[in-house]
Amino acid sequence: MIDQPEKSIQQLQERAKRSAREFATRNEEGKIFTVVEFSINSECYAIELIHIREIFPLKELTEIPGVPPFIRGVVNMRGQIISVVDIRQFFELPAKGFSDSSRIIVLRSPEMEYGILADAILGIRAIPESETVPGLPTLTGIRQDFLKAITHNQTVILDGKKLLSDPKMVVK
Amino acid sequence: MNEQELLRRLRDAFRQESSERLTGIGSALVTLETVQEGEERAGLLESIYRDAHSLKGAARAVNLKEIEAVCQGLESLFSALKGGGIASPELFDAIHKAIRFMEAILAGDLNLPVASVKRELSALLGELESCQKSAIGKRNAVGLTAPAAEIRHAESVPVAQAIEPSPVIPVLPVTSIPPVSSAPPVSSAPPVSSAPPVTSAPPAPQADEGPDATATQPAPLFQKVATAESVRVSAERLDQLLVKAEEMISLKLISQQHLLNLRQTHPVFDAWRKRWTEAESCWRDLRKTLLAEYGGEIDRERASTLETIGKFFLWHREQLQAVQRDIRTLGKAMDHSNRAVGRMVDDLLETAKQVIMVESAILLDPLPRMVREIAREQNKEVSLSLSGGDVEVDRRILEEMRDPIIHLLRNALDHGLEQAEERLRVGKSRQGQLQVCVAHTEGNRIEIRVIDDGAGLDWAKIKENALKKGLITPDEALSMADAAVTELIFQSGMSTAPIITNLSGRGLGMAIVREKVEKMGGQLTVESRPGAGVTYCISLPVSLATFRGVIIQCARQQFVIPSLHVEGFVRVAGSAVRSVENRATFLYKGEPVALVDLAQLLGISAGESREAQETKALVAVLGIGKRVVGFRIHAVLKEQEVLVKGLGKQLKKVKNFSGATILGSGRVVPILNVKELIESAIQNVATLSIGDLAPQEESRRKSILVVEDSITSRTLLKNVLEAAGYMVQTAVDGVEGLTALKGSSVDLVISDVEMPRMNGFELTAQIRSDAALAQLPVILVTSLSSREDRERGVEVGASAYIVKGDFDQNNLLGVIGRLV
Repeated sequence: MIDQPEKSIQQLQERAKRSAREFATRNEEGKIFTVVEFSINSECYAIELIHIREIFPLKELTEIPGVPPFIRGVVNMRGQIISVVDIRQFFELPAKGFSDSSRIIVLRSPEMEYGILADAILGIRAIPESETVPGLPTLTGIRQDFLKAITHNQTVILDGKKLLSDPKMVVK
Repeated sequence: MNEQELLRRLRDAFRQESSERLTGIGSALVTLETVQEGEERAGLLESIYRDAHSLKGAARAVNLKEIEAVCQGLESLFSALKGGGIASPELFDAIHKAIRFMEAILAGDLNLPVASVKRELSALLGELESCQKSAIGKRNAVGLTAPAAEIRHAESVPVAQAIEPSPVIPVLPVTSIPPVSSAPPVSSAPPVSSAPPVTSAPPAPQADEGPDATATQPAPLFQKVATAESVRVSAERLDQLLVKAEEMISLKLISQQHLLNLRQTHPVFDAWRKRWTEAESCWRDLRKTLLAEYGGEIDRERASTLETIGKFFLWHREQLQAVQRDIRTLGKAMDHSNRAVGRMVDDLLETAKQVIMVESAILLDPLPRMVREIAREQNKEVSLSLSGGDVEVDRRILEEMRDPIIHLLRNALDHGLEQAEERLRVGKSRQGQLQVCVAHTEGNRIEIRVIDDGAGLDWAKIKENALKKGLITPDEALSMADAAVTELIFQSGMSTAPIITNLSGRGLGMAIVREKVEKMGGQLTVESRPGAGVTYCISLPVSLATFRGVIIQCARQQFVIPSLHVEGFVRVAGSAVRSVENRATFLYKGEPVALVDLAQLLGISAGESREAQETKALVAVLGIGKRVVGFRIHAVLKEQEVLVKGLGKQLKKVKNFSGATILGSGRVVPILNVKELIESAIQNVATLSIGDLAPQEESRRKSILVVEDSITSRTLLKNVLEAAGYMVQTAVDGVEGLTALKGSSVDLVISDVEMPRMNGFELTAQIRSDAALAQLPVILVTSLSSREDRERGVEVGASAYIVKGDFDQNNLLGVIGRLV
């Protein structure tokens, strides 16, 4: 009994190693972003998979008075309370209500964890770096900060690491 | 398990064992310093010696050479003391230093840089060695070099022991003994030690006071040897156990919610039965008519169709009644299991809480050592007495109280207790008396008292300081009562008095002490007796975890207020509100209390949430200590157990909130931080002006049209609205509703969404398209809770959309009030 979890952890680690190797070989032709694509106000955004803990449908959102406007509220994620960020605020997109297809994408680093709102999830994609450009000269300030790259078909790849480490994102 | 893992586990165990042993040694040492002879001394030495010895062995087992080496040194030192050596204060300092060093190794995750460890180590060992030598040496030199604390008892020291010749250093002649028995002359300038103040010679009159006070120290921790009935479990695991037991509360709440939902099906059956009776009687009429019309000529086929329908009616009723019975039975069974689950969860939680209770000794035992050190730094003489070490308290509370207690003691030593000369001058004993007492009080609470017999709070100085810092005005200073001045020490600006900071080192002012106490659900009060000392009294719950909270509604949002801070809920008529210094106040239990609007204070939909009919505002009177403020809210929903959760990693601190809780329904409700609310309220402009609360002028009674196909809901709505003072018309569907609208003047429409013939969306669209009605407010009430429906409702032009699930009277009345 006691050994079993260790064994399955071992199996998982081996599996992880195998997939990592696959990834590495593909990487030899240049970096590849493995991302989750999602839409906000009919625009296409993406975040690298490694920053994502999970994705779940938005059910009930509780507003917290007094927090900055980019935080829409908190939700109950299986007994854990998680704050929800509306990144429309950063990209100057008009605010909109939610629909039943609204999803919360939970980003996580060892120090930080929160969800961002998406209108819909489009899927997981591997985007070679060669198919992207590092941002637009017209973008400034906070938008430029959180932008990692833009693909040729206008998908904005957000910088998950910066989103999770930027002190501006924390309410103290 | 590999070797590394084994070593890791062993070290974990070692860390626990050693910290207990070191605490034990530490507190025993302090006692030892005041007890220089007799059986008590022998017993103490023996146990310290054994502790050092065991620790040495344990350290060797886990391959911690540094600790082993230090213990080796201590062991031989204690051995020498056992053999009759007498310890000087320097020696005690060295031993305490050694203990601190080992604690540092342990606290540093056993990972201190090796080089610095070794350097420290050799220095320490050298120190111990020289101390050991001098200890042996002193056995002959007691008359001149032993500090006065020991001399106090010298009269009873058996001469044989005192003059037992040492094989190593026979220094001084026996003739130095006589002065000892006539104590006073000795106190002048001992030649070797510089006589540190803590133990420096008291003059003869007080000679007997010290030991009495210090003898009341509780048995140190190390004497509590684990018996066969107890096991060692890591604190972390116990905490996990408690957290899991606490999570079970949500299970209990969810289960209660399910039962409520199940019970809500009963009206559905009532409505069905009514419909069924109507239909059945229609069928009877039809059958009678047909039979009468056709008489005996009715053909067989038609007759059997009639019978089939008749049978169906009966079957239908039986089936549904069976379902209703089943649901009732299910409800009862669920109620039973709910009660059982509730009881079991409560029991489990109670047991889990008891499991993490520990004796207060873990808080008290390290104090003597600490006080001794500070007293030496401060050049003050002090005796600390502790009591209540066996009172059991939640370990997390005790841990949180460590810093506040230390701070209070430091404060007492720094500001409270006078220097020995000053004490003698005012007729007090030379040694300052400090007490820390833990005791059970009423219910599940304890009290920790920190008492000193110093000069008391210097009110004049506090006032002066507060004036300088701009916390009070000169006028205020003049008229301030002593109690109010005492409160000033909790102002955050006051904690930075330079001398406190350099002493406390942690920058932990009185403000933070109080905050910490309150965070644990406790209260801190101060009583100062001028010239006779200060008593700090901390009242705390025995265990942490859940607390009771009142769920309230304010505007459209729900919040939790910790019941502890709720003084009461009252209705306040507009005429009862008075303006004092341009602030709204009302009388609560005969005292004027400030009144603020909670919604406005929190910045949620300010002003518009007023309910039209309400001439008396609902006010939650909240208080912390003596500060009480009334907050205008809109409804009190219920009181229940609440489990505090954080707001997530991103929201580290949100003003006015201390966290959130999750209700049985899964809904997240923020918990209000009453302390911050009161502070915000006092500084804030949200204080209600009188006009806000004045009864509104009653104009014409408003008329409402209720369009609803279910008779139950229709009747319910009609009753609620009429009770709230509206005139109510009803219609059973959209078509009828539209007709009614054209016939009379209506101020507002409340409509169901799902209805036969014309549903609520269609009705709303019709209303909006009619020029005469376009401005009429329409509220859609429905069980459809999807956002798409809600959006559709907005699309067709509904003014508000209320979901039956969270339908509650006040909410509906609030919405209506805003719209008409």
